[in-house]
Amino acid sequence: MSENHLAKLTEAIVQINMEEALEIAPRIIAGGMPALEILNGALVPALDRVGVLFRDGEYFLPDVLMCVSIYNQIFAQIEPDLKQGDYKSRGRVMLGTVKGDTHDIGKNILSALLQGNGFEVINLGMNVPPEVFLQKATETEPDVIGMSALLTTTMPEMKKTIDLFIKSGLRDRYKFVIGGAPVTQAFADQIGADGYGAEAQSGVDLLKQLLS
Amino acid sequence: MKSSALKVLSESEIREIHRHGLDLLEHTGIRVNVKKMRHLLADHGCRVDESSRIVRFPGDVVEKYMGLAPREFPLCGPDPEKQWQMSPDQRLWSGLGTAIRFIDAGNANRRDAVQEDVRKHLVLFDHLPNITCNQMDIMALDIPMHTTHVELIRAWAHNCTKPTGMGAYGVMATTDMVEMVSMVMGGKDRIRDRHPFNVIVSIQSPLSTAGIQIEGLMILAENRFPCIMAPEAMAGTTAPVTLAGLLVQHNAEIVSHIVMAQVVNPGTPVYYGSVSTIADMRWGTAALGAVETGLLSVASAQLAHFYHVPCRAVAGATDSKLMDIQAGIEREQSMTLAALGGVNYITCVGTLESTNLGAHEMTVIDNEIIGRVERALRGIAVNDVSLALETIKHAGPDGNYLMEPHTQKHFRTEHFMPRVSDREQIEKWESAGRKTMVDHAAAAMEKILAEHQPRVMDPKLAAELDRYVETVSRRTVADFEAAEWEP
Repeated sequence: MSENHLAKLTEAIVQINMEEALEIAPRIIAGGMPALEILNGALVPALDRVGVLFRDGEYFLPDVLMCVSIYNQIFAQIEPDLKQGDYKSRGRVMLGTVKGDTHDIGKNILSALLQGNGFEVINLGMNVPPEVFLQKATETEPDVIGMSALLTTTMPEMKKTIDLFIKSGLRDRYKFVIGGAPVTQAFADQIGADGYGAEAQSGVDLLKQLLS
Repeated sequence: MKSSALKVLSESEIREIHRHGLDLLEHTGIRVNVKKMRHLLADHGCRVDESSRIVRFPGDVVEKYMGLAPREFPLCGPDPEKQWQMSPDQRLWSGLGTAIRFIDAGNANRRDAVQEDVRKHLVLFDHLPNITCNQMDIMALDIPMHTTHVELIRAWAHNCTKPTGMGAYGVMATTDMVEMVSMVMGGKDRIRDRHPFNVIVSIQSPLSTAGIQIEGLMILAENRFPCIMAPEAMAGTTAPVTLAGLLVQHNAEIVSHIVMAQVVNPGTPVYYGSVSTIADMRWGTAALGAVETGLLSVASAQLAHFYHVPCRAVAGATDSKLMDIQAGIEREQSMTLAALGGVNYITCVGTLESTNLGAHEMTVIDNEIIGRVERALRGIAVNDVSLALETIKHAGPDGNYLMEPHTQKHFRTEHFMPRVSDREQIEKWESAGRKTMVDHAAAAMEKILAEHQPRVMDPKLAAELDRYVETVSRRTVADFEAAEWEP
């Protein structure tokens, strides 16, 4: 019966049936199934399938974002039990749109796709000054720091942020990745970033590669 | 609301063209090149001059028999449960043409059409959601010409679940079509009310008939096959250079053929068909990709609906020899005009070079163009759901609608979702090899051909069809000629 429930939950997430997914999940949890089993038996396989559907052009951003939203809601329910288990995320990624820039759609898409791919995401939001990147990094110790800028006028903030980390002697503790419409690979090389993603899916591929 | 319909004729102009057409039919007449048909028309009140073969149609005869043509009728595929309604209120898209050559590999390779193209074409048509029918699209050059029709029907039965059709080609070939389609459908009585096979009856403009087409019409009407009455009147050569003059003549021609079908068998499904266009004044040849073809399609739809029958017109045809900008402009414009004008059966998907050239990639691209056109015609829905007031409030200032459930719920129906158009960002596009729409279409085509399984064939039916094809292949062209009726 438990196998059957996990399959149903997987299907509900993949089919973006939030109502059904949020109805089945608490029943599975109440039935006493270990959190790790729910995670590996339904949540992760569901998002894997969603990832394939997205790559094949069957699913689009709103589909993925809704699936990740369902995933997050169920994950929150099992998370307390996971702490005791041996669950490990693919990596911790801190994301923010740089100072002076209030564009965050692309960054939020990346955030959702990363979560959907098993990464832990700390989203600092928009208009994040270099000092905040530094402070939050020392607090949360991410593996990767991702910066986004949508304006040519705010792109220099990316360099300022990396320079601040260099000055503080912390540059080598993190990988830096950047993205956003005006940003290019050449700019990433110029400011000493570790990687550049042209759009969200490339960003996910990049992080998988950086953390492999 | 839905997008407004396009009209090129006023109500009074439609009546004027109708009236002048009636006058032409009554006084000038149509040359009917089959004696049997002339006799039948004489029996039903037409005036026949045997020496010139001219038949004159009195107004009351025209009125009586035009009124017998059904307004709507169902189309079906080889599995009759798959059904579509055809009427002045519907719109279905179809292939058509007699491609004798093909290009593939992104415009580079130009070669003869072969029977394998027929199979591929049918599989693609079966899979592509925006295309419902196909019509004698390919003249394979690797089989004897006198087996083209039976090979097409056999391939259709194996590879397609949608309606198909051909042209009326004289007594013997048309009889073969009726026999084989009946076999596929499980008997003649099963195709009298549901129709898997639309047949083009080509009209010989100006004001004449091709004997083999009229023979075909008589056999088809007897068996209630839907007949598409289709003149290819060309403004400047086979019709007046002015479009209004062309329409008067083309209308009289089509009306005469509809009357002929109803005289043979009242209630036979018919289409008011049009392949009419302009003649290119430099070469004297038909210019199917001309903007005027689109105007004539709209006018034809208006006239067809005046007579309460569905309209078939050509769109997506182009004079270009490549999948290039000209091909794109000409097909998109004619498709949009025909659809906005209310044409019900729109043909010539997947063709180039005035329908003499085929390209499977073009079929895939046309499926996408049709999707765009259909979206344009759906217009903008304004209702509680689409106004999205709660969602606007929920997202709020500086909000992001990508995360709103409303977006996920409605984007697929509200936006047209292209499959082969390129919207990739420049870096990815560069690194993926600068692929064009034709490249994407080629990849999509390969995938469909590799994966799509149209239907499981009954081995008994397959054997029956094989035997029929075998019988026909033993004939000679002379056998077909000998079977023709007296002109």
